[in-house]
Amino acid sequence: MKEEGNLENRPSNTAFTQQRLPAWQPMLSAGVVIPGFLVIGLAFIGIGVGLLITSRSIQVLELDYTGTETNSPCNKCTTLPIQNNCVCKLNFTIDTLFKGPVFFYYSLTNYFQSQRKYGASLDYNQLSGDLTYFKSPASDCDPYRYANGKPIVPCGSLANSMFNDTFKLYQIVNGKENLVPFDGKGIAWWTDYNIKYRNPDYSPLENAFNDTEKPVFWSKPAYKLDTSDSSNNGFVNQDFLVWMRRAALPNFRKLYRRITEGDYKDGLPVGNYSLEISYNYPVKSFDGTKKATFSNVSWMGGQNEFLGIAYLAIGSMCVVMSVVMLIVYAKFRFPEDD
Amino acid sequence: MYGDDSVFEEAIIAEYALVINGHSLAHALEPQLEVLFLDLACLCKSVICCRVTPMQKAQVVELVKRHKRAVTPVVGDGANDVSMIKTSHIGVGISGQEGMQAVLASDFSFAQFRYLQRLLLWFITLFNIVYTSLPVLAMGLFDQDVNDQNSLRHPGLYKSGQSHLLFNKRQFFLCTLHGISTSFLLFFVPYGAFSVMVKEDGSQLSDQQTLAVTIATSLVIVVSVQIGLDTHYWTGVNHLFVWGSLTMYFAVLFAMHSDGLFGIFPNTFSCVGASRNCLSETSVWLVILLTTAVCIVPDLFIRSIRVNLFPTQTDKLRRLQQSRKKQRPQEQNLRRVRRTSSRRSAYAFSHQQGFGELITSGKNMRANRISSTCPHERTAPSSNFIDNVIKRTNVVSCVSFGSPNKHQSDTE
Repeated sequence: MKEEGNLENRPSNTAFTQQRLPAWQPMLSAGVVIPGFLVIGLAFIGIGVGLLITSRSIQVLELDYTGTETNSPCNKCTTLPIQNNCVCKLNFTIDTLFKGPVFFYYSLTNYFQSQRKYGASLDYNQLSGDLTYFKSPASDCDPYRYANGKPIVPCGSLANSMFNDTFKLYQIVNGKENLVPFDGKGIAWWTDYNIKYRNPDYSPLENAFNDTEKPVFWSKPAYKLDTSDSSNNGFVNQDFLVWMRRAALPNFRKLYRRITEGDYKDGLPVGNYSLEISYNYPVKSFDGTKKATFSNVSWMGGQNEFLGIAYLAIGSMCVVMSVVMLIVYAKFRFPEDD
Repeated sequence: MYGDDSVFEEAIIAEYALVINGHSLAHALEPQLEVLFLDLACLCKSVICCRVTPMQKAQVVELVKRHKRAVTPVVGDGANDVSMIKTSHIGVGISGQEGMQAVLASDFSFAQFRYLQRLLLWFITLFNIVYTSLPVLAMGLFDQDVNDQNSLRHPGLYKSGQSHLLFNKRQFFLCTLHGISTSFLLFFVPYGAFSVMVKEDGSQLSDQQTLAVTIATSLVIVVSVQIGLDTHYWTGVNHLFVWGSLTMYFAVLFAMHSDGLFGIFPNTFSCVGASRNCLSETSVWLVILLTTAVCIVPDLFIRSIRVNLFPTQTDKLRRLQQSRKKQRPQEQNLRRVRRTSSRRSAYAFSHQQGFGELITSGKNMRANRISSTCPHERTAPSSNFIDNVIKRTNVVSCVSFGSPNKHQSDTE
C-alpha cells in the first residue's frame, strides 16, 4: 500500500539498533561442562590440601586464665569486690620449639563487639583530634558522654570497655626467671595508626584534655596510656587501636605483643615458662572467658582448618558431579543435533 | 491449564468471518446481547466492523478486555482511533497519512504496518523485565537466545511465553528460594572462615569491617557470574556492562574507604583502610573464591543437566543455530510467514462513510505519488452509486489487521 517514499523517516539500520552486533554465544555443551567441572574440582582439591597442610603446621598454645575453677592460680582475682592489680601467675611448659616469630594474643569469648549500639558508641571526630568535639561529644556516646559535669574523652562504650589486663612472660632457666622481650610496635593497622586516629595538635598533649574526664572504667586518662613513648600515647596507643577495631564474631582474638627480639627471635625454645598476668578485666558477669594464646602465622594467616576442609569438600563435589555427568552422558547420549 | 475465558479454548474448525455495521453493533453491544456477540465473534476467524463510531470501537475493545483473559493490542492511524487505542492494553499508532494523533496516544508507534510483525514477537520479552542494574539491562536489551530469522521461522518458540511457562508463580518461588539460599551461603561461608583469621603479619583480620568487605565483594562477584551464565549472547555492550560494573564496585569501594573522604566526613566514612587491608590478603581472596564456587557450582550443574538432558525447543534451536552458523546465507528480507490456523479473532473497524471516495480520488495523496499513477483512474465524485459501494468495500478491507498485506485493494 504505502511505497518506500520518504527515506528520512526510516528507522536507523545500524548493527546496534537492529540487534545484529557481533557476539559470542557460549553453550553449555557436554564437551565444555564435564572437563570444566573436573578441572575446577581438581584445582580446589589441590588448594584444599595446600591449606590443610599449612594449617596443620601452625602451632597454637592456649592458656585459659579466667579463674573460674578453684584450683586455678587466677581464682583469687575473680572474687568480689574486684581488686585492682591482682597479679596471678600461670606456669606452663613447651615441649617442642615454638617456631618464631611468635605472636601473643588475648582471647575473649561470648563478647559481642559487633552489637550495634555498643559498636556505634564512639565519636570519630574526637578520635581524629578535633578539639571542638572534646567539649561536646557526639550523642552516639550516651551514656558515656559526660561524667561529673565534664565531657568524657574518648567517649562511648567501646572505648570505655578497653581491655586492661597486662602480661609479662618469663622463661624459667636454672631456677631463674628470664624476661621474654615483647614488641608492641605496629600491632594495629597502619591505616588506623596514621590516618584514622590522630592526637590533637597540642603539646604537651595533657593540656588538650583540660576540663575533660577520662572514661569511667579507665584507671588512667588517655594521655597517660604510655608515658614512655609519645608516639604510642593518647589516641594512637597501639593497644587502644587494637581494641577499637571491632571484632566480627563473639569469640575473638586480639594481638597483644610479638616475640621477635633477642634470644627468642627464632621462637620459644623448649622449657618451662611463667606468665604473669595483671588481672583487671572482669568477664564473669557475662559468662565470658579469657585466654592467653601463643601462635605463629603463615601465608594464609593463622590456623584455619575450615578453609582447607571446605575447599576439599567443594573440590570433591565437583569431581563427583563431573563423573555423574559423564555417566549420564554415556547412558543417555546427549542429543547433539536435532 | 487454560481457563474458561482464555482465548485458547476456541478451536476454529471452519473459516468464518463476521461483518457487522455500526447500526447493528449498537444493538449487539446492549448488556443482554454483548456476551453472545463476543462468543460468536471469538468463533470467527475474522470480524469486520464497518461504519462504526469511534465510541463503538472502544466499546468492542473493552468488551474483549472485560470478558476474555487476553491482552488486547490495537493498531490505529487516525484521530478516530484514539479512544480505541486508549482503551486497549497495548496501543500501536501508525504515523503518516492521517497525522500524529494516533501516535501521541499510543504505547508504540511506527511508520509502516509490516513492522507490526516484529513488534508482536518482541513485546512479551520486554514486558517481563523490571530489573534495575546495568548488566541485567544489557542482557535485556541485547540478549538473543535464538536469532531473528529462526524466531520468525519457529513461532512455536513463543508459546512458552504465552502460556506463562517462563514467568509464573512456580518460577518466581524458585527464584526467591535461590536468592535466599545464596544469601545464606554468602554470609555463613565467610562467617565460618573468619572464626580465626589473622593477617600475614599476625595482626587482626577477623574484624567487622573486613567481614563486611569480604561478603560484599563475594556478593558482587556471584551476581556477575550469575548474569554471565544467563546471558546467551555476549555483545560488546554486555562485556562492557558486566566487567564495567565489577570495576565500578571496586572503584567505589576503595573511594569510600579512602583517606580523602575520611578527612572530610570522619563519622560517615569510618571504614577508612578496611578494603586496603582486607583485599590485600591471600586468605580473604581464598574465602571469596570459595564462596563464589559454593554459590555457583550447584546452579551450573543443574543448568547443564537441564540443557543437555531436557532441552527445550529454544535450546535445540540454539545448538542447531551454532552448528550451522557459518553455512546459512544471510537473508535480506523476512519471508512471509505462512499462517497456520489462527486462534485469535481479529477485528477491523471502518469509519463512517464519506472518506472512501475522497481517498480513492487521490486528491489527498502526496504529489510524488499522484504523478506516478495514471490520471484516468481518478473517478469523478458523482458516479454510479453501485460502483461507489463496490469501491468502498474494497478500500475497507485494506484496514483489517488480522492479516497484513493479505487483501490488496483493487484500486491500488
